[in-house]
Amino acid sequence: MRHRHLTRRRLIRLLEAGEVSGVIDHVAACEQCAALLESDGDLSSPIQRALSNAVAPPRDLVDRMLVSVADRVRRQESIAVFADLFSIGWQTSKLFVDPTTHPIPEGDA
Amino acid sequence: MEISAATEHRDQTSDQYVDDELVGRLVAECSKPLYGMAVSIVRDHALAEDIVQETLVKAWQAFPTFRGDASLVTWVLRIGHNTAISALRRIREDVQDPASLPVQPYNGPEERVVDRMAVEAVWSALDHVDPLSRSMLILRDVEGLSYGEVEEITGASPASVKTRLFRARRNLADILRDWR
Repeated sequence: MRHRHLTRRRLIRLLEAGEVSGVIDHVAACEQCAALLESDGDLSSPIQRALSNAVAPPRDLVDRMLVSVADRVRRQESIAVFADLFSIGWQTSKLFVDPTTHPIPEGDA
Repeated sequence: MEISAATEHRDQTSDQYVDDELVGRLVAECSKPLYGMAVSIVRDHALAEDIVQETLVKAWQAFPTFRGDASLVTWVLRIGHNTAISALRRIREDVQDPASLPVQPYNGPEERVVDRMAVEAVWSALDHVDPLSRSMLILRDVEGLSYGEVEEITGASPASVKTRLFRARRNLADILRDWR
């Protein structure tokens, strides 16, 4: 199949027979057959419209997403702020209790 | 606000800053294509919304790494595709009945019935198409993205995208012959 160009009919027969990976391999190496696939098969407008309706989002999707995404982002930011504050507190307390922390020499103070 | 300016602003004001404008832009530009792609993969209305939300939060977190090689929508859709595929793996056996999916938009009482029937027919036809090919179909034929963008989002090769799209369109057109 690799060195023979596919006719539309043969292409359809191969795909109907489940030879998808064989067709993909051939098309990857054959510009002419790739162009045939690309040029063929635009959906008719009624089908395209029905397809578009089938996957259309609810009318209020964007409004609800604006609220829920902003809310989740803010919650994550709050957690990050809390973690930072905790970290600062922890580091500060370590300065007071860490035995390896040396006092500043009197001359430098 | 330009993307680069938004990044700069966020860097300057530390990680504790919530850029409402960035969140707004991500939601406004990406929610609809994300939803269409997600619902085509998982076929569950509620789960598709969860995937949209999850993806937008991930995109916000990863935004400082966005280099602008692809468009913002393509970059977010790539994150969304991975999120939807992971979700599909988790819920594979428990998908919603496609007939219960919402039909939108409605233009009038007469068109409502026709649209509803068409949508049900489309979902039955999509049963015969694998999730990866379904997502390619939505990205290319509903969202109008280029073949290159579809490759980038799905991580598939050019040959795979063209072959899968050809097969999916044929399946759909064969099954929905009456709707042509």
